[in-house]
Parts: sequence; C-alpha cells; structure tokens
Amino acid sequence: MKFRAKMLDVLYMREFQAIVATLAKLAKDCVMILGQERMHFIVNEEHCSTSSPLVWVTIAAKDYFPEYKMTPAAAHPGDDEDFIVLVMSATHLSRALAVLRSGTTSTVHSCKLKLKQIQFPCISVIASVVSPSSAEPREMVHDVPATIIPASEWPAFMLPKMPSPQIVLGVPSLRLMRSLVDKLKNISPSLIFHGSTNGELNLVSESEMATITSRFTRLLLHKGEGNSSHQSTEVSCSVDSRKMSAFFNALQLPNEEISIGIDNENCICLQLDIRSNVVLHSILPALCV
Amino acid sequence: MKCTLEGNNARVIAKAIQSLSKVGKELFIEADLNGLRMRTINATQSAVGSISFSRSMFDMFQLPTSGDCCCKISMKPCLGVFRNMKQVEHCELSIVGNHTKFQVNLRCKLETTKQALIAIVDEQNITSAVPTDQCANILRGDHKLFMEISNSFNASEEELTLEATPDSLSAKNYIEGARVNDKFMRSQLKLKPSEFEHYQVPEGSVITFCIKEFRAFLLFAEALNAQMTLEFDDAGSPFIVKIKKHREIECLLILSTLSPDDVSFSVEYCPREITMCNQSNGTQKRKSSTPGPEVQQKRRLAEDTTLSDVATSLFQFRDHQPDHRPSVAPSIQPARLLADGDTVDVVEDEADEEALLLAVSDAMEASQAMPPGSTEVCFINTEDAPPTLMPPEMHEDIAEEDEEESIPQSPERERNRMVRIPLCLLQRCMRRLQGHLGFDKHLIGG
Amino acid sequence: MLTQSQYEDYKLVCRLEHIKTFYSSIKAICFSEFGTLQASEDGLLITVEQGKSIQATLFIAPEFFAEFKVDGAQNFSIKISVLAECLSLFGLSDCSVKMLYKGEGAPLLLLLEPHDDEQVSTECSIKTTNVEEPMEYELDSNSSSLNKIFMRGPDMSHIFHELDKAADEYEFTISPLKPHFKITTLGVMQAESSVEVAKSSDMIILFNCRATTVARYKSQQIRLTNKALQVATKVAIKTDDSGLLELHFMMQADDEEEMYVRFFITPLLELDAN
Repeated sequence: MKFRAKMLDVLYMREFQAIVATLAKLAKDCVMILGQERMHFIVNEEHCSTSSPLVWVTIAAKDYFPEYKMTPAAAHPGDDEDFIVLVMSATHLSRALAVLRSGTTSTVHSCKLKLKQIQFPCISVIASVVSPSSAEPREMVHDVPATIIPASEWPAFMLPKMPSPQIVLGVPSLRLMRSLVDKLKNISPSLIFHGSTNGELNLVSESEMATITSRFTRLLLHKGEGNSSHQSTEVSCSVDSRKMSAFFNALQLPNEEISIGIDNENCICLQLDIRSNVVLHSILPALCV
Repeated sequence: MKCTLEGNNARVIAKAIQSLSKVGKELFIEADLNGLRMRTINATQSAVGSISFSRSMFDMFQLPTSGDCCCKISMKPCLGVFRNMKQVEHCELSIVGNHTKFQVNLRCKLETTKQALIAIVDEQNITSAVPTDQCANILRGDHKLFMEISNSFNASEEELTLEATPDSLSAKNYIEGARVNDKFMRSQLKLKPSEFEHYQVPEGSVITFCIKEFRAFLLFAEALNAQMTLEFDDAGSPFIVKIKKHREIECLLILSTLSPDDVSFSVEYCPREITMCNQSNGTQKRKSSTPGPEVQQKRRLAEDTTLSDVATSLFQFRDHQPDHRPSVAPSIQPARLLADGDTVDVVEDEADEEALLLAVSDAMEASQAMPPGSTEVCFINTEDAPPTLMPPEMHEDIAEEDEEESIPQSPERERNRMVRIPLCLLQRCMRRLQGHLGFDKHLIGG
Repeated sequence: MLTQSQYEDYKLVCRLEHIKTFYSSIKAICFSEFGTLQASEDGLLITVEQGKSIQATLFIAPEFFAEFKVDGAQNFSIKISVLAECLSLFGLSDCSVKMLYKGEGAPLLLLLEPHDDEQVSTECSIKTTNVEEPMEYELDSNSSSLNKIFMRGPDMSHIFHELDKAADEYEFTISPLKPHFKITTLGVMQAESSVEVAKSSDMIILFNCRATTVARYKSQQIRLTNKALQVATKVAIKTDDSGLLELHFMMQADDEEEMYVRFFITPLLELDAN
C-alpha cells in the first residue's frame, strides 16, 4: 500500500488547508478515503458528547495534486473500487497544513503528502517553505499518526447516502445566516426550517420567553415544484440548533452561498459548492421533540 | 535603593518583567555598582533567567550606603504594575519602609500618576554556578529566525529538540529513535547553517530542552529587536540562551537539557515505507486474540524488558494511569523514602514535593528486582489484542499466530503500553542542574 | 406589513434607524436578568438593578427615534438578556429596529431589518411581565459636598481598566486639593496600588469640587460599568458626602445621536476607623 501526492499551486494549497481546517473545527478525528480519482473526508461525531453534525467533503484529487499516486493493498490492481481508508486526527492534519494558510508571510513552494511507517502509520506532510527572512527554502515535516482501516471494516466508513429533499433553496447571505443561527442556539435548542417553493425560508426559534422568526425571501429555488394549481408547496423540519450553529461556525471557506435542502420532517441537508467537483455536504436529522 | 528611568527605558524593564513572569513566580531584584539585575527561577528549578540593565539606562541610580542590595518579590503584583506602560513618561523604583516594600511610581501622560507598593518577601538572591562561556556549539541569529522556528511548533508543545550537525540544524518536537505516543504528531523543521549569523558546530550534538522558558526570552529578544545566541554542549549539560543589546542590556537563560540516559532508543522508530499486506488478515488477527496467549505474552514481554525500560514506563504510567498503579505497586512507604532522598531541600511548593516524592518511590520500585507477576503493572493499559511488535526472541513463541500480521492493520495496539511523558524525565535531569544552583541569604545592613 | 388599523392598536411604537448605539447600551446594562421599560412622552427608560446597591438606566430621548409614538405611560418588564440577544441576531450588520407594544399582557415585538440585505428580516416576540418599580436614588443637590467631574470617556476607561482586578474594594477620593481625583485598590495580597489624576489634566473636561469626599465601593460593582465605559465618549462622576456614586455615560456610535446610561452605586458602609 502506497500513497504520495504533491501540491504546487498556492491557491489550491490554501483551499485544501481551508477544507481541512473546517473539518478540524467540527470533530477530533476524520476519515480520509483515498481513491484513484477522488479523495474524501468524513467527520462524524454523532455518538460523542460534542454537538457536531455529520459532514463530508469530496474533492477531485488531481485538481489539487498534480502528482497523485495511490496504490491500494488489494489484490486487484486497477480496480476502481480500491481505496486506502485512514482515520486520523483532524486537528493534527489541520495543524500540519497550517503553514499553507492564507495570510501567513511565508511562501510555500510545494507540499507533499506521503503515507509512511514510523512506529505506526503516518501521513507525512512535507512543506517547502520560504520565509521573508530567509533566502533558501526550509523543509517543515509533520507526521500525522493514522490508523489504516482494513477492507473488511470499510462498510462502516462509507460515504453517507444523500437524501432526496423536496425543496432545495440557495441562500446567498451565508454571513447573516451564520450570525443568526449562532444567536438562535442561545434562544432554543431546536430550530425549525420552513421552506416553500416560492423561494421563502423561515427560521423559527421558540422559547418560554420569546419567539423569533427570521425570514429569507426571493431565494433561488434549486429543486422543488409547486403543484399543478400554481400553489406553493411548503415543507419543514426541526433540527438541533447547536449542531446547525456548529456547522456554520466551522466553515473556513470563503463561499457566500449555501444550498439548504429540506426533506419534510426528516432532515436538512446542507451543500457548499467549493468548486466544480469539490463539494462539502452535511446532513442534520430531524429532532423528534 | 532608588532609581529613576524615562518612559522608553521603563517600557523595556516592563517587557523584561513580562518575559521573566513566564518563567518563574518570584522576581529577585538586585542592585549593585554595575546596575540593576532581575532574576527568576522556574517551579521545577530547571530554568534560571537573568536580565541585567546597566547604570546608563537610568537617569538616577542610588544605592544604599551599605552598598549592594537585593530583594525577592512576588511576580504577580509586579506584573500588574508593569502591564500597561503606554502612557508612562517617567518611572521611579525604590525600596522603602525599612526594606519591607518595593515601591513603583509611574508618572503618566495627562497628569496621571500611578503608585504601587509591593511587599518584599525576602532579602534573598539566587546564584548559579553554571559556566556560561565554555560551550562548544554556538548559534547566533536574528530574533526573527528563532521566532520562526518557535512558531513552527504548536503552542502546547513542551519540549524542543535541536539536532545540530556541522552542515544542518533540525528542530524537532521529538527525539529521533525514541518512542512517541501514537496520538502524538511529530514535527520537524530543517534549516541550513547559512541562515544563521554565526554557526559554530564542530562535531554535532542533540539536545532537548523545555520550550516554554525559551519562548519567554525570545519574546524579550523580539521586544529589543536583538540577536539571540544559543550555546550548548552535549545532551544533559546546560543549554544557554544569551541576548545582548548594545552594552546596556544583557540576558542569560540557563536551561537544563534531557540526558540521553533517560531516553530509550530503537531502530523500530525510524521512518520506513508501509509494506504491502494481505488485507484479509486484519479481522482474523482480531479474532485470534484469545485470553490465554495474551496473558502469557504480556508476561514474557515484561521479562524481556530491561530494568531501565521498566523505569521509563513506570514514569510514563504515573501520569496517564494514576489509578492503576497504586493498586498493584509493591507497598513501599514513600514518606520514609523521601526522608532518605537528598533532593528535599530544594523543593519549594507542594506540587513539586509530591512529584519528587513519586519520582523517588518510582525509582525505588524500578530498582528493586520484582517478581515477573508484579511487573505486569507496566502493561496494565494494553488493549485486548496481543502486541504485534515483539522483541526478536518472542517471535519464535508466537510465530504461528502472528506471522501473517502486518503492521498497517492494527499497529497501534502495541504502543499503548509505552507513552512518553517528557516532563517527568526532565524533572529527573533538572536535579542535575540543581547541583549548580544555590540560594544566597543576603542580609543588608540596616 | 401592518395595516393602519392594526398599527393603531399599539400603545407604543418606536423605530431606530441604526441599532449599534442601542445595542451597546443594552449590553452595558445587561448585568441582571430582568429590566424595566418605561415609555412616556419624555422618552424611553430601561432600568436594570442588582440587589439594592446598583442600578443602571438607559435613557433615550424621543428625538433619538426615527419614529416615536406612545399612548400615555407604558411600563413593563422583560428579560433583558433576551432583548440583547435579539438585537444581536444579525451580528455586525447594521439594522433598523422597530419596537411595538400593545399594552399590558402583550408581548414586545421587535422587527429587525438589515440595511445591506433586503431579502432578510426578523421578527421577535418577547414576553413581558408586570413592571417592578425601580428604586429611586438621588444625590443631595443642595449639599455643599456635591462634587462633579466630567471626563473624556476613553481616558477614564483606561484608568478603570488598569485597576487591579484582584482587589475587593476601590476607594474613590475627590478633593479640591491634591490629589484631586484618586482611586486606591484595597484588599490585594502583598500589594496596594493607586492612581491619581490632577484636575488640570486634559482628560478632565470639568472639575467642580467643593469639599473632599472619600468612599469605598465593591470592585465588582464598579466593574459592571466597564461595558458602558468602553463605548462612552464622555463620563460624568458625581457624588456627595453620603458616598452615593452617580456615573453618567454618554453613548455615541459613529455619527448617531447620543443616548445616556446612568449608574447609581451605593458605597460600602464605613467600618469603624482605627
């Protein structure tokens, strides 16, 4: 089993860093699934005490890594179904990539990822960095300990299935949404999303002391149709407001638009299109209260 | 004693106090013909910092008629007084109230004056007998360079290892060849000698020291916009940091370093490629871990481990599994042992005392030949699965079960029994430094 | 959104074009659970108390509102932290806010509309309870010892900010002679400190002091004024020989009109002097 990959473009390196930093804000550990064409990350701390939602990201590996070589351990070389599945600390990985962050004064020439064995398997992150005070590049190496998941256990590490929401709305004001959800979590533990096919989204938060209704209007309807008599269809779902807030607060990407899908009384799915072929998803199940 | 400074120089003194406050909880102030000196020592007595200001920095410098004077004050109130210095135009430091109070007067902008009286705890001083100009290895560079090295490591990092060779310098948060915990991220930064102003490493050396105090002094070097010099010999001998600004300010930080005797090395811990493996083995191996052979393996492993290894793992376990140890530990009376120990006189606060007390008892346990059964304490944290990495002779016994095991499948199982807790080790090596330190009772004539 | 007849149902309607000063003023007095709103033709008062020793009142004149309509006197209490939370829903985005109240038993309605995004709005309905009459404090205006100091807010904020937080008590001395204005921190182990400001200092706008007053206050209560101090452009300190401390903070964000926050803090009883 072998894996090595190399990034050279500063913008892609920063974006990759921002994706990993987002995951690190959500959960302690992340699953890294390396395929021949795609790289996936999953964070899911549903069973922990933390209130993080299930989030996963799929990226087109070759976009970020001009050099990308993955040799799985399996006996069928060339099989598309072959992967390397790793579990590692998202915090460590994010810290290892921190040098790629935008806003630092250093310039990074290249950044390699490599699977190697020290006392245990590691993803080595090797960055060649030039600081303003040095003429020559320095090599910064971080070895992120990883656990290799054997194929027999892969079913437990599958990418989640996308639900099929009745309505998907594009919300252009992510910043306002983030601030709103962050404050609403202090009002009530649950938050109700009402969406309608006429492009309206209402967020309702209720407590003993107050009822707060926030209205987003004239949203782009990505999916969902009114019924034949031109009546608008309405769906709603109540979710954990802390999880919703954790999702928005974790986002480290510059996107200003997010798609919110509502599967009536079942779940809310969130989708952030980082670029074509690079998507961040989250699913928040309905609260049954 | 009474001395006065103008605002900019007072701000330098404030920065010095802020740096020293990150090292120790007490501030030793000493005035003599050369000027003012401030010193501190950290809680584990593994670091001593000293910053001297020449007389030329002061507008007025008045010593008592009896000559030199010194005092010890608590750092916290002192830090409070020197926290916000932006508005300060003029500063007066004096010892008043028949040597009972250290007085700070700050005259600030907008006709504001601030005054603080800090109780003098003791008229005590601290000295160190570590020679500070005989090291073989000398690295000098701009504070920015050292700041970049320091910033490459996480703020929560406790130690830094420098591997200096005649043609390269590696800064690492781990020791090459030593075990690390499987949750620990190893980081290293490689630099070329050309990055330094002066790079004198005749033979090469590897040293490990606490990064916290180093960072405290680095902050001061940054405030002074000064160069910094690192001087050291081999592992175990003191590491010295020097900062100089013109002829007015001289700083010296002496840190103890980790002794190689306290680290166990193995080629197993050096990097290599992951080998191909048959993926079907993972589950098989898990199922094969029946209780029978497991117990046997544990015992065998314990017997094979050398005494020094046992000592190491005992130290390590003390922090990670405090609840397990006493239940199986031989009944040794730590209190009595402490009385026998020779380190008590330098222990100041209770936390330290306890740490040393445990260290002493641990060392005793380790040095006693224990029956194989009782050494199992070392492996109490081992998970259900059998260890996969065995000393060579072990492989013969368990070869049938384990030969198909491949490292990548579940390599983390074995490692849990060895967790590196560097600070405990440092506590041991710091006792070496203590040999070089002494407290002077310095009484001043009335 | 509201029809004319619905609109007339409301006993109190007021609208602020910008939320910033209002929000920071509410945050400045948000140290207890409940606050009392008193609206009349003279404007809007919001009062918060803690025990019987500290009271803070926000006063907004009718001119400050873009729209202000009140039917008689309307008094009610609400959970002040909920009001603060509602005002902060859109974070740093500037909003307009409209407050509506139908009268006893009805909730207080808040309508928030961000200026930079017309597609978004929020409506909050906050439960009201019966009014709890605030305490009345007053300095003796005829007293020969009525001392007043007007200071620049940011300078005063620096001085308060640097007071030793470990202290239990602060002692305020105001005197026509030196030290003019002095604060001493008391009850810190191994250290005592003080700060003095001369009356001729540029930070002092007005110094009107006839007799020396000395009084002690709980440091924790003085610190409750921190949030008001941080945004105040000007501060007035008033006291008399009773020791009651009256602080006025002029709150003003950007070029918005000013609001006032007034604190009353009662002194600690003087223990028998040695």
